[in-house]
Order: sequence, then structure tokens, then C-alpha cells
Amino acid sequence: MATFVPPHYPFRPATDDGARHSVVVVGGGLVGLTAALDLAQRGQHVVVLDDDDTVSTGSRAICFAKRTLEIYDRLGIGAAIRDKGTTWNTGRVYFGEREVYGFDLLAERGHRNPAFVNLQQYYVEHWLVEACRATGRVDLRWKHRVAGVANRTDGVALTVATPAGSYTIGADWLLAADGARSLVREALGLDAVGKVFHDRFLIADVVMHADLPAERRFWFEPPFHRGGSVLLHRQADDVWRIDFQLGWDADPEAEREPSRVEARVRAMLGPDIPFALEWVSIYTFRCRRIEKFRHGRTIFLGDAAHQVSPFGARGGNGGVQDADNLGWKLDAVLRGEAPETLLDSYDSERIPAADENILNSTRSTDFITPKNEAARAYRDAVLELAASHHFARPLVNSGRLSRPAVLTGSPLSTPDETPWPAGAPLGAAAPDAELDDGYLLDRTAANGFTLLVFDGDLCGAIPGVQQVVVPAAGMVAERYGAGRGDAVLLRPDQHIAARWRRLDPAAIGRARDRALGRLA
Amino acid sequence: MTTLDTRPRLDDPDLAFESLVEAHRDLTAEQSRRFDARLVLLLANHIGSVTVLRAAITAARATAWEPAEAPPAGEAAASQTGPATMRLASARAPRS
Ligand SMILES: Cc1cc2nc3c(=O)[nH]c(=O)nc-3n(C[C@H](O)[C@H](O)[C@H](O)COP(=O)(O)OP(=O)(O)OC[C@H]3O[C@@H](n4cnc5c(N)ncnc54)[C@H](O)[C@@H]3O)c2cc1C
Repeated sequence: MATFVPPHYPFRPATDDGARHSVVVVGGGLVGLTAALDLAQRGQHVVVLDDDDTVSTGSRAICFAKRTLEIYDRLGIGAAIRDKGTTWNTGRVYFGEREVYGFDLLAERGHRNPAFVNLQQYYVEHWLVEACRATGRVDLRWKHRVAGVANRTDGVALTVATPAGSYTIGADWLLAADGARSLVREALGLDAVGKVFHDRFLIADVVMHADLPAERRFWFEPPFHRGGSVLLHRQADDVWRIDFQLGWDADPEAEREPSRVEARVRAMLGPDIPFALEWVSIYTFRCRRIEKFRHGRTIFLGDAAHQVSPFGARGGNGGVQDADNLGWKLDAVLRGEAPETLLDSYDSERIPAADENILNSTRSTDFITPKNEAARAYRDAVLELAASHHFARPLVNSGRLSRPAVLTGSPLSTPDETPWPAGAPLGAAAPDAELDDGYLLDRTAANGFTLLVFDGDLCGAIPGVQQVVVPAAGMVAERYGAGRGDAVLLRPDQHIAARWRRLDPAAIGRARDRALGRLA
Repeated sequence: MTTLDTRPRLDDPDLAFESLVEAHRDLTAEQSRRFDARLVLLLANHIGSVTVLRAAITAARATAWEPAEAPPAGEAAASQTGPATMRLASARAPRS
């Protein structure tokens, strides 16, 4: 009773042996496709090489965070994800027989997107493929496996293996989005450094018509799964995600047996709910990253660059932010509008973001898998206290959910010339807000900078900067800490680059140049 | 308060000590450990400062006395006066 029939994209033999392309993406997964689509919508031609001919097997990522949805709105697939997916705002935590507490993600009003939408990764990838095709600028090559990489100072030479034989192509720029077992990483001799958690998790996607609310439920040591934790999430098509913590000693082969998995699910659901297994896998999680993401003309994104445990949904959501960060920069370099050194800011902005994701998901995993008896005692003590004491609830860590990176201290930001005490900080992703006629983020430039002018007169044209007048009172003003006559400059990836209490075209031009890496 | 106050502050030290010990009556080792953890968490929240908590953790680690057969603890031990058979363990840096 498959709910989703995976598409099989056609294999086409290469006809350009020896050719040179400006951008080649290795890996047509979630992040590689996002990067390709972003670049193509900015006008670039992109070749995508993928060793498979379909989308993600099994649903893998399910929780798509607000920032990812905003990025996908910019790329044109946000509405499809919202319509198909399940929006959730509540979570519940259980310990043993009891519910410890419930929480509300307290979604703020006036954003187009909710805190999270749950949807199977394969839907998102499928729509990314369609959107890539629609641009007419993405050359998607299925069953083209990169087998060799030579990273040179002026470009990258690739050996590609296909069912019709091998060929070579060159790339001015190579985006390595070939996932956790990245061949490009290996070919460049780079180590991903970090830690492996000594635990195993059974991840099952189960089809059932259960009369349960769309909320995240997390059990520590429930009666139906003694000695471990269990996580339940609702996805689209009546598919539910269940994670069972099995412990390090579990036998992955035996645990994968459908009868064994069914017994675990049956114990959880009770005798009355009919269900069918759709996908089962066993994972051991890692938190690690390579030291630098940019290596000359090769740039790493997504799981190839960094990996986290899934608690907090920071893997895919982090990778999509990588693509968001890199797309406009590479586009500006390719157009000759920015120096190559602009791409170093991808490292200075995305490495701290990766570290934040690694720190958060490491802490969650350590809470879920206590390292020793003392850690377990503290973990259980927190859970016991949380049932009756509010103060202990923030200590419960069943996953710190993905948040957009704030690019604090970015070399591309222009420091505030006057104090800016309220609203989103410099470097934050632009907060959305409801306007009379739609949402703020929909008004940002398709490819370029956006200047939000708070109820002021526009200045004369500033090249590369689209000016948008917004009200100096109410929701927008509040979220930006701005008043009449203030101006806020957003980068092409919607992060706040600079802001002023006055409108000075020269200063705005300088801030744009700084964000493009033109000022040394 | 962002510094750890280690001056004698308890109004009735004997009652404080007796209460702590008494609270563990009838508890297994595992229950005791979890009880202590709950107690520490309640007190940590009352203090309300991670800086003070971390200073307390450092101080608690630095004052652990270990049996004589433990490896020599370095110069820190040399300057201490204590029972001949006991040695002060060197303070370990708190985890970052
Ligand atoms: C159980 C589980 C739950 C998760 N839940 C979430 C969640 O809720 N939210 C979230 O944000 N993230 C989640 N993640 C993480 C998320 O799935 C990954 O972070 C995401 O898939 C990374 O995307 P990627 O494009 O970097 O890599 P991948 O999706 O792995 O894509 C890599 C692509 O490269 C291709 N490839 C590999 N080698 C080569 C080669 N040599 N030549 C050509 N192509 C190659 C592969 O075929 C693949 O298509 C979860 C992961 C797991 C396992």
C-alpha cells in the first residue's frame, strides 16, 4: 500500500565528453537540488550529477522549518509543501507511564509560514526536480556517478561513471552536495571530525488511519518500549514516523525484520489500530563537519559538509540554508559583480551555523542517550521535576528545533552607526510580517538587495537595490525595531545587512558593496 | 549574584547536614543518586545563575579527596595540609 510511487528519471548518456561547464553540482539530493534551483533562478546554467535516478528512498527528513519554507517560497515550491504537509505547533513529552508536559511553539501571528510543516523528503525533492526543469537551465543527469575529482586552482576536473561508460567534464565551480558519504570529500582527502553516538535507532514510516492529533510526541522509557525513547510525528498521506531508540547492543539486521518492527509498533499502538509498514531503517547518528567548506573552486554543502543527529531537524534545514547562503554569492561572482573572495564569507557565515547545529543536536542526543549513570540520573531527575515544576521544562531536551542562523559578526554586515535596541538583530534572516496586501517577504527582490524604507521617501535609484516602502508603525516596524525614516538593507538571501536611522544613498551603496565583498 | 559565595552562611549547619542525610533514608543507591540530582536542579534553579553553578562545580571538583593510591596530583597537593594518607586531587578544568 505504497502512498508514494517514486519517479524514475530517465538516464541519458553524456554527449559532452571533455566539455567545461561553469557550475557543476554533485548530488541531486535535497541540498544539491536546492542550490541548483537557486542558481538557475538567478540565471545561471547548472549541471547536476546524481548517481541514482530517483528521489530520497524512505522519507528521511520530515520536519521542514519556517526558514526553509521561506526559502522555498522564494524558489516557488513553498505553497506546494504547505498544502501537502502537516502543520503542527504542539509537542508532548512523556516519561514512563505519565505525560510530563505539553508545549506550544507559540507561533507568532503574521507570518506566512508556521514553525514547522511535516512532509516526506521525497515530495520536496520531486518538486525541486520539477522546478529545476521548469527553469530550462538545469541539466539534470541521473545515473551519472562522480568517480574522480581533481581540484585545481582554476577549476575542477571530474570523471563521471554512467551505465553507458565514463566521461570527463570540467567545472569552473564544483558544489559538492553528495551527502554524508561524500566521494568529493574523500577525493580531496578531507576528514569530517566529530563524534559518533553509541546508540542505534529504528526509524519506521507507518501508514495508519489513527485518530491522533498532529503533534510531536516524545516518550522517555514508555511502558511499551522499556529502556529507550520513542518519537512520533505525523506526515502527509496518513504516514506516521516512529523512531525507537534501541541501544548500542541491538543487532541491526535482526531489528530490521518486519515481524520484529511490527511487534514494536503493535505494542505502542495497542491491538485496535490497523497499520502497515512503509519504510524501515536503522541508524547510528553522528555529529561532525569538515574543517572548511570552501576549498578553492570546490564548495561543500549539506551533509557532505556537516552532519547532525536528527533530533531538532537541523540536517536538511541547515543544508537548505547553506544553499540559500551560497547561491547569490556564486551568482554575483559569476556575473563579475563580486570578487571570488566573497565566497570565503560562505565559510565565515555557515561554519558557525553548522557548529550551532552540531552543538544543539549533540546536547539533545546526549540527553536522549545518557553517557553514564550520573547523566541518566540527571536526565531522569529533570523529567520527574518537569511534571510538577515549570522551571525544569526548559531543561528537558528531546530536540532543540531548527532555527535560522543569525550571521553575528559577519564580515558582510555593516555595523550599526547608532544603537538599534529593538527588533531582529543585524545578520538575522528578515522577519516576515503581514502587510495590507500580502506578506513582506514576498516583496523582496528576486535577485538583488532590498531596501525597506519605513514610511519615507525613496532615494534615487541605487544599482542592485530594490526599494520597498513599508509602514513605520505596527507589525513590520516592531519586528525591525524601526521608525519613520529608518531604512533596512536586506541581502539577496533576505538576511539583514545594514540599517540606518536616515536615508543616505552613499551609505547604502557602501553597505551593498561591503555585502558583495567589494570593500577590502 | 554572579560569584560563588563560600563563606559560612547556613543559620543552622547541623540541621542542614542532618536534613540532607535524613532525606536519603530508605533509598537505594540509584534512588539516592536521582534524589541528589533533583535536589541539585532545584537549588541550581533557585540560584538562577549558570556562572555561579559552574563556579560551584569547579569548587566541588577541586576539593575532592582521593585515596592515597591514586596517582600523585601534582603541585596542588604539595601545598595542602591534610591527613597523611589522603591527597587532594588536582582541580580539573570544567568542561567547556
Ligand atoms: C531518519 C532521518 C530523519 C531526518 N529528519 C530530518 C528532519 O526532520 N528535518 C531535516 O531537516 N533533516 C532531517 N534529516 C536529515 C536530512 O535527511 C539530510 O540532512 C538531508 O538529506 C541532506 O541533504 P543532502 O542533499 O546534503 O544529502 P542527501 O540527501 O544524502 O543527497 C546526496 C545525493 O548525492 C548523491 N550522490 C552521492 N554520491 C554521489 C556521487 N559520487 N556521484 C553523484 N551523486 C552522488 C546521492 O544519490 C544523493 O541523491 C533526517 C535524516 C534522517 C536519516
